Amino acid sequence: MTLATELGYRLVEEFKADPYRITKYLEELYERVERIEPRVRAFITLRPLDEVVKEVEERIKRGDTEGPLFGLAVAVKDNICTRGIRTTCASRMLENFVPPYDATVIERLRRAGAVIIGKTNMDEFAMGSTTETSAFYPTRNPWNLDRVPGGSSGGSAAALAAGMATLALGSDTGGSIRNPAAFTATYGLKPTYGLVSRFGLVAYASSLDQIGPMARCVEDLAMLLSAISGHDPRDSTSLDAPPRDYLRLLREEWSREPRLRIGIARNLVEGSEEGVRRCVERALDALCSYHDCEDVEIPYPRHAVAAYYIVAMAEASSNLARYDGVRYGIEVGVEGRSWVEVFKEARTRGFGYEVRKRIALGAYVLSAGYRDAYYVKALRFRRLLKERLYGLFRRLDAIATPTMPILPPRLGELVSDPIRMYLSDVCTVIANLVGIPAISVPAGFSDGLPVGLQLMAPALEEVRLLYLAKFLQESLGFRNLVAEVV
Amino acid sequence: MERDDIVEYLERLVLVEFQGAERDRVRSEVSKVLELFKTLDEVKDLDSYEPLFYVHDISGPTREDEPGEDIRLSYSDLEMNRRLERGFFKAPRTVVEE
Repeated sequence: MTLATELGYRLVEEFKADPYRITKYLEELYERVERIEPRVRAFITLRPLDEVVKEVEERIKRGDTEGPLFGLAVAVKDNICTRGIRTTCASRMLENFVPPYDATVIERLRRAGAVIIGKTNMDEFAMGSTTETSAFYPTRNPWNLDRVPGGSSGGSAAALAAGMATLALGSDTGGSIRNPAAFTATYGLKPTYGLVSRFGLVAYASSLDQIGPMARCVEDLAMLLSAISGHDPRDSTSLDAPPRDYLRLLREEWSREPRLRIGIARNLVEGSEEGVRRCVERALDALCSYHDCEDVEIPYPRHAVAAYYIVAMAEASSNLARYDGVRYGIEVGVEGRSWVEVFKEARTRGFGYEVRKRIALGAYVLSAGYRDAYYVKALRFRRLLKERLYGLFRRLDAIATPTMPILPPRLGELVSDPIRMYLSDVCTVIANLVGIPAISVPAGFSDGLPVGLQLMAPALEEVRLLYLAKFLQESLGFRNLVAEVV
Repeated sequence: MERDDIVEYLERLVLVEFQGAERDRVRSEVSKVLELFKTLDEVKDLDSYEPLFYVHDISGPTREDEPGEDIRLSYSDLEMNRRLERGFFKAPRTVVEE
């Protein structure tokens, strides 16, 4: 084990004893990046090593080494604003956008002593499940370079799985943290809606978007969540939740060893590919050897996908209306034409095909004559789903499902079949529609390809999810898995 | 499909263009996606549920409606991203459509 691939919560202890070890750690990490990144392409922007080392050494000289994440290298999804570091959303539209401010999560990371090493690749404006709709290049799965790493936070997940970052931030609108976590054998948590500030997150679908932590073990996930969560007056949907030390709470829960009631979403397990089903069943055997399990059915899963895409596309069409090439987005250098023509030119050149399609569909479902038939119906379904799910939570502490019903597809396989791609989100969209937390835990490998198990709990029960994830981590032994990229 | 040319209609709605082979592709995909959306009609008694716009029953505290000092933008911050001239953003010269 080199310093570069050591877990974050162990590194912080080591750095407390000798802060100058951070330089060696960063050098080792960048050596890996230099060797692996050309094949994986997890990053859109990577900060130079000397700049990153200088930042850390200046903090050490100032004696500013107390932060709980001091010295840890974090990869940040490229839709989270970073002052002075380009933030592209993997889109030509924002190719040269350098934010003049930090997102709240970035301010908090910096305060905690973390070092942002770069911005990671993603589906354009987070619209995709494979990281192939990036306007720049697709990211490859470190476990098998012919396969996708999932999406839309595929760059963050790939950076972790390849040992090119210790921690990572993603955003999750319909599964964009959990899907790539499952496809890369890493851990990913979508927090309760409102637990983590969205201030500085480039909006896709505001009622569904949530920033969350990604890592190679549960402890690191807990540590990162502690740093980024808590109320933010600059996000009006931010909950009045006090900052919590999730690592301490996880350890307390672990020592109490509560036996929990788990619902197994049998219809979602049965609806998955065989390789996924086999791994998930094995993980469930481990979970149910201690906890009390019962089979349940998630109501209307296919309809949840429909409702999710209606809401997401409708909100996207509104959020992305601001990109007109003047206030936001690329300048096309066209003069002497009508405003509509200039606007259309910028939007057509700046947005990729999938983005244009989704905002067009979103505007369609909101347009006169269709709003009630699509958008309002989807919102009614959202309430139905919430009531049914909370009905299950009256007798259950958590619900387990596969994270993804399929194995990581080959590049080009899913993106060419959008309906199949949308339906592959069947297990993950539920948590976003209802606003509850959900976590993806490595559950095994099928033909060398990672499989994830998802756990969902009622709002603000992140500690319960972390506890169950740790239970699986210890039972299955999937901890700090780093792919040897060859 | 209710519209004669769905692609043109969508282009007008959001001011984008689909070009070349994209036009057939988007026509076909939009039709399939709308079919998926229509499956919500199969859910019984959906009209008895109120639309859910915001997922939580509780809402977060709101801040005082007073100007803060959250973001201090310098001229050079703005210059990084936009064409500026004498302190103003420069927009493309456009003509009014008749």
